[in-house]
Amino acid sequence: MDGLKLRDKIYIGYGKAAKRIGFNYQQFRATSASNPLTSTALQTLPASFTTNFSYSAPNKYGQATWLGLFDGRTFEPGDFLVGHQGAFFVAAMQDTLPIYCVQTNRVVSVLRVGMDAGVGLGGWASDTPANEVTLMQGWPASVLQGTKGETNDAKLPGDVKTPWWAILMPAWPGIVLRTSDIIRDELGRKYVISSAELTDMGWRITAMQAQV
Amino acid sequence: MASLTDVLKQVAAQVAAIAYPQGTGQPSAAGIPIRVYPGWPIPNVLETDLAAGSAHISVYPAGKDRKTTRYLGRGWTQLTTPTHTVVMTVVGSVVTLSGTISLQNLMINLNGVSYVYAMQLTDTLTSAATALASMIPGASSTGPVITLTGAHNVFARVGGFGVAYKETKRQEQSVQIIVWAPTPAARDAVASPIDSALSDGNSINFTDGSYGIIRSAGSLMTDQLQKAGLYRLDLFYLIDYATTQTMQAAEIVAPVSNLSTSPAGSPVITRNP
Repeated sequence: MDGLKLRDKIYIGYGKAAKRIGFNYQQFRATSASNPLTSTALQTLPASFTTNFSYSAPNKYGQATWLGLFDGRTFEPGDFLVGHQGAFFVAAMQDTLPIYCVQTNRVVSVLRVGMDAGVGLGGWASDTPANEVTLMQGWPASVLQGTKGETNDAKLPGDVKTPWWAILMPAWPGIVLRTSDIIRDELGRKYVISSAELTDMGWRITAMQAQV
Repeated sequence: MASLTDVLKQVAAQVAAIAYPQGTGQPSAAGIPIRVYPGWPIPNVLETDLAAGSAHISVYPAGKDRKTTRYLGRGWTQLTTPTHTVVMTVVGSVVTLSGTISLQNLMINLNGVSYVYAMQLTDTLTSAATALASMIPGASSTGPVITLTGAHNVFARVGGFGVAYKETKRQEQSVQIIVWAPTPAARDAVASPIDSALSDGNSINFTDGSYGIIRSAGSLMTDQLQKAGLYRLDLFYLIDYATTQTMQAAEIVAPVSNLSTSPAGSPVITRNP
């Protein structure tokens, strides 16, 4: 017995448990920086998600992370599971430890404002949809409320504080998000990245909602 | 019309011309790549460019403008003169059209009465002559030649269209030309030629033909952003510019005069109806 063999046995055990208590999920793996869920599913397998292995507590508001119960032998961090409870991505598969998953609630695109190429005179430098270059498109992500709000720059009479959001999403190799990058979701909301933390669990982003 | 945006674009264009005296295909006056634009820098682009040793120059208004209207009236000033592409030659009672087609008014005055045809871009000289002849009693046309009957006094005029503008108000706007450079030396190399050239002269012309007055109003240097590898210098210029309206004006070819003698009840005599 070694670590590798032990891990496989644990995953086989997860798979057997999921077969009895889980629902069918499809496994997806991104092949490019856009629309990872439009690729062909790698497989359909039973999976169950829980907050602890005694199945004694529900997942609560503001909590995106779950423990994934499925045969993880063919999985890599960043893979998606789409099925009964929505779309999850695998955040981490730490040695011999439970599989750490994130439930997604939005589909987002990451964009970066560009400028006219070249030197010399350029057009008006500004953030308009036409100037935004797409870095990642159609990625399921967890977008949950952050901790605080900021006074809206527009300062309209009807304005309230502009909220902050905590965003979790998988990383795609070669794309490094930075402060001031833009995230747009399918609800039409626009977020501007304040901090972007990259770990082996993907991106953990703090973003401010940008709105009038 | 000259607007604040036009002013900023014009200033940015002039700054770019100073920064790249030999064109953007050649090195800049400062020796490093420079972007020039109205608006504010985009953070990710500025950061990347600074790290690569390039500079940015952004142009934006600094604060509110000051009214400098002097109640000089609001007269129209001719901007472009009308051009005549059609020639009408009168020999006896025969009028001949020649030249090329464009938007023109063609007028024949026969015995004191004017007949005007507005030439269309789809016209030919022949079709314009036909249209004009059909307005004039007793006239006929063959090709571009119009033959009049019963003529004792004939003249012809061609009228074109010009552009005129008027100033509706003037204001003086402070504009900041901000140099964003990666080093103090680069900042000086970028800013010096621009400040020198812009302060040499006081007139600035805008795309609508109106003119403005440009004067230096100081500068502001800050090294506060050196933590981010950024050295900034603001050059302030006061630009007095006009808000304008433009119009296309038709050249007068057939003046109509109403004459009346002074006693009330006298008949009004209309010439050239």
